[in-house]
Amino acid sequence: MTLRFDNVSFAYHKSCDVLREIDVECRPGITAIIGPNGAGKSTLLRLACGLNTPRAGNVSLDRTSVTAFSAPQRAQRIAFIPQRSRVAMPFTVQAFVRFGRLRCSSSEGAVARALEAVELDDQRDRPLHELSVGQQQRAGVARAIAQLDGATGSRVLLADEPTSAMDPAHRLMVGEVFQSLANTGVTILLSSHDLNEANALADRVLLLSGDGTVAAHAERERVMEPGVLSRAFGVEMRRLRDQGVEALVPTRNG
Amino acid sequence: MKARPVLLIVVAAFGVMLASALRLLVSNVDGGLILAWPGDPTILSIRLWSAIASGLVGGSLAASGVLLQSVMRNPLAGPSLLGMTAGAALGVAIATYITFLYSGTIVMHRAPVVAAVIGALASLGIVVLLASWRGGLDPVSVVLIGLVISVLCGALILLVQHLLPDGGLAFAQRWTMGSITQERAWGLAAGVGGLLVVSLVFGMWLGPSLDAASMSDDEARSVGVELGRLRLACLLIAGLLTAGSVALAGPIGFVGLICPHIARSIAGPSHRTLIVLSTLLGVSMLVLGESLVAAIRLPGGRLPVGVVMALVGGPAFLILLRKGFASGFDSWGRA
Repeated sequence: MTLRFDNVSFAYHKSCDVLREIDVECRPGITAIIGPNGAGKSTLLRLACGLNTPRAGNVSLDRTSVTAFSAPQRAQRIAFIPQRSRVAMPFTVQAFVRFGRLRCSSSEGAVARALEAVELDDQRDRPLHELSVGQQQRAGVARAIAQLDGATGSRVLLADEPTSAMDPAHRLMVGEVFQSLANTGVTILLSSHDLNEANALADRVLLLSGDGTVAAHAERERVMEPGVLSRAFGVEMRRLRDQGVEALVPTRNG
Repeated sequence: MKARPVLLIVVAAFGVMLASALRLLVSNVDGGLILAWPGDPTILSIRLWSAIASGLVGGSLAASGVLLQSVMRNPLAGPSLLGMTAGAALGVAIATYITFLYSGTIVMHRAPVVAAVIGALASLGIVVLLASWRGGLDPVSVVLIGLVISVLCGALILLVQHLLPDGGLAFAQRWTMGSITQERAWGLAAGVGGLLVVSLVFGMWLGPSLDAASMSDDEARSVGVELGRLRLACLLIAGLLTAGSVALAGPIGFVGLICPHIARSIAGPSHRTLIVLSTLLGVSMLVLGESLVAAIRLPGGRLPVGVVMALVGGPAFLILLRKGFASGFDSWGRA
């Protein structure tokens, strides 16, 4: 059960590749995607979801190109969480989460479980657009969880900075949800600017450099090193430890 | 479907029956309003035609508005804004001009179905083609291009009007503000009715996809909505519905815009209920409008029902807009 990027290059405009020759294999568990702004983290997730087609190379799930799946087949295997979920009409949170079941057998149980997992079950009847941005992000996570609920075979969850507007308690809660999903065999690609979140959750880390190439892809311990991160982000990174908890902190040189 | 939507649809259907009964009863004789069952079969047939044709026009425009507002994620999307109404009217204008060139007379009595269909679909085709240049059918591009095509068609209609004798006054009377054709073209009505039924079935069948399409493009596609096909199918059906309504009545504004908003404010955004309720509201609205124009007599003759729709629909839309913003409809267009 693998999600493979085979020498993938992608450009929004012909003259400039956003991603260059990405050759990476992602297995069940959490892979954090980190890198500076514009490194191509979100683009990589869009390619994995089949929302964009590579200029060169191929993205495949279990040796089948993700763009070769029909829309229902892809939706039953791959869920995507954007930075912020929005709807153009006043659908309730529950109706929005139910959208995740569009290509699955109807299951109110899956919707209820997903809402409970992100602690939104008490907000189910409110219109989504009335929620705070952090709550909307949790609804997006619930929608993706509902989408993968009960799916058999390979399951992939692509999350693009899913917790960027959440408070600390809900960040931890969503992190625990991702870890429990990973423990059931889901392959999770988590794009994040929060290095400590990536450090806390990821089994492996894919570090993209500013020119859209892979700077590092290895076990978390090998990539989340101050020296590696300092080179990638152009600032000095320090590791602080206190009572068994560690934090990566950027500082200015000197 | 849950109990409340069914109840709303039943009530709306009852409203359609009341409006239709009113249209069959109402008339104006020598300036006096009369409410009576027509004894003469010919008069009954005329009123029956008026009720059925106006109902089909209202229903078609309202169903078309639901589909367009949904797939374009735009509260202002409607047959008029996307250039379809103007395209259909231009098709009719050109057909009228060609007929005039060959026969020397302005033929207004025949329903120019083919010309209206070709006009609506041609303008829709141009809008879709131009909006697809950048890949996909971007809602903003579709609306902006539709607006431009609408203005262009309007200019061409005026040009054709000026090529006709006396500035094409007879033509302008019919095609600047729509009115239900007096020719009892039952075959055309059956065709438009069939199309309306198909579009209702389509809307209910694809209701969940239309619901999910209200998310951002990326999120909608990630849950399995085939956005390109859905948008194309909705545009095509909306184009055919608009063409049918134009063939029956000429261009009538506001019905396609306002009925989906009223239905949404009553029943919520779920499309399975919305398309049926909006269609029934459209039927009632135009049949009532047609009853009103039948009830009043003005020195210049019978008022086109399109005038009533604009006079009632415009202020009603402004009220809805104000009310809608207060009740959370401001999420429109920000996705």
